Amino acid sequence: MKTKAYSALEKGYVCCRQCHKIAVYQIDSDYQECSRCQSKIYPRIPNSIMRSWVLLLSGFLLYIPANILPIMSVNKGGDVRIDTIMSGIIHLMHIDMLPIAIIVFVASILVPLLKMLALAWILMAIQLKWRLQTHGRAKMYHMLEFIGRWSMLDIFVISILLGIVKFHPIASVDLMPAALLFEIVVILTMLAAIMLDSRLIWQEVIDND
Amino acid sequence: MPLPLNIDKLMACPDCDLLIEKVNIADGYVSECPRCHFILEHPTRSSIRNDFMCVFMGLLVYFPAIFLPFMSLTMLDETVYLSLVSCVVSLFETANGGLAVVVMFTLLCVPLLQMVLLIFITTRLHHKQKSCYLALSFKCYNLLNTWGMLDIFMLSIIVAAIKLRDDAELNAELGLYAFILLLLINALQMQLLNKPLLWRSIERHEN
Repeated sequence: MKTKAYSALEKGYVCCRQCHKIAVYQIDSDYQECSRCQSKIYPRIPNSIMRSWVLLLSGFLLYIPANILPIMSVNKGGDVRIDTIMSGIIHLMHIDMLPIAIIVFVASILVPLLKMLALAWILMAIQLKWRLQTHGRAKMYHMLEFIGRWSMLDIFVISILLGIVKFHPIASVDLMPAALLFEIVVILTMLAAIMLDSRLIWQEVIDND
Repeated sequence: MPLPLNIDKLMACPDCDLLIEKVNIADGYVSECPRCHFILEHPTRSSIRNDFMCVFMGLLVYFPAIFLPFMSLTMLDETVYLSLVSCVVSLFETANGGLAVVVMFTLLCVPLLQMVLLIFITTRLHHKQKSCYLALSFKCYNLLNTWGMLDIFMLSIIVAAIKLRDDAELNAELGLYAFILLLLINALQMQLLNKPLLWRSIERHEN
């Protein structure tokens, strides 16, 4: 038996984003207050797509200098090494730590890049009203919400190294601008994913079986 | 089939906004959205008492986990002890305030705040005391959820340890075990938490 599926909004209901309580949609006002948690309920997050694009694009713009500029310099008894993210990974490979190099590569280069591409794809799909593979996009959205945080790995590793080397008699570690830039990229892309209202992914899918 | 249009019998999938009829599910079963397979409720994670126990244990190990050193290094006959707090402090000292604030927020503040909020909510609900802050607290708890990064820090300890193993002699310290415990308890707490149930209890207590 084929039944038609409706979104709550089409039938005149809105769902609170915070506590998931359903309420009758009041068309004449921009937002209404949830009777359970007193949050503002919007039928969809206002300007969700625009905000998400802005955060995503600024994240992408910062991602470029974050990868080109050096992230830290290590001074081991007069022998100075200045590393970017990529050169650090290559250095790890040269000193036979391939598994760690792969972990760092995935967390700090692959994940942010794939995340930004995936988010851009989802946003474009919403704007251009693509109706194919909605399930795939919804799954992807949840995945990138989950993996986005893992890019912080490098930042934490650096802060551990910094904490240790402070006590070392002859070595020193200095952080370079890319560390801060990279951290901002991670935060911006996380915010971009949060800003995107997942219900918009499903907006164009009306028929379902 | 006529659609049931009584609002008490309806719910919407928070993830894809599909209008669904409310169902009562038996113990041990999971309800998910028929369209996007978002998990609506786990009835097995039902006890508010379990939530309380979990958070209480978490608070017990929280302070050892952040103040006790998790790693010690011996370089040139000198032993250095490193704890989570000392990492943050050294970031501040080397004028990397931007990094320090984020590391402090994601590793120290978020887990503590979440536990304190959840303790407040569960004790209030248990003693059936009314409070106008219950809904607000739980909202804050949910907002903070994305920003806790204890699990990532665990992996970064491993990465840092492997990077350093040639330069120094490394030893795991008591703080590491406390940290692992905190991590596990934190994960368990998130798994046990039945958000729809908690929201329903909060609603009952406010009116």
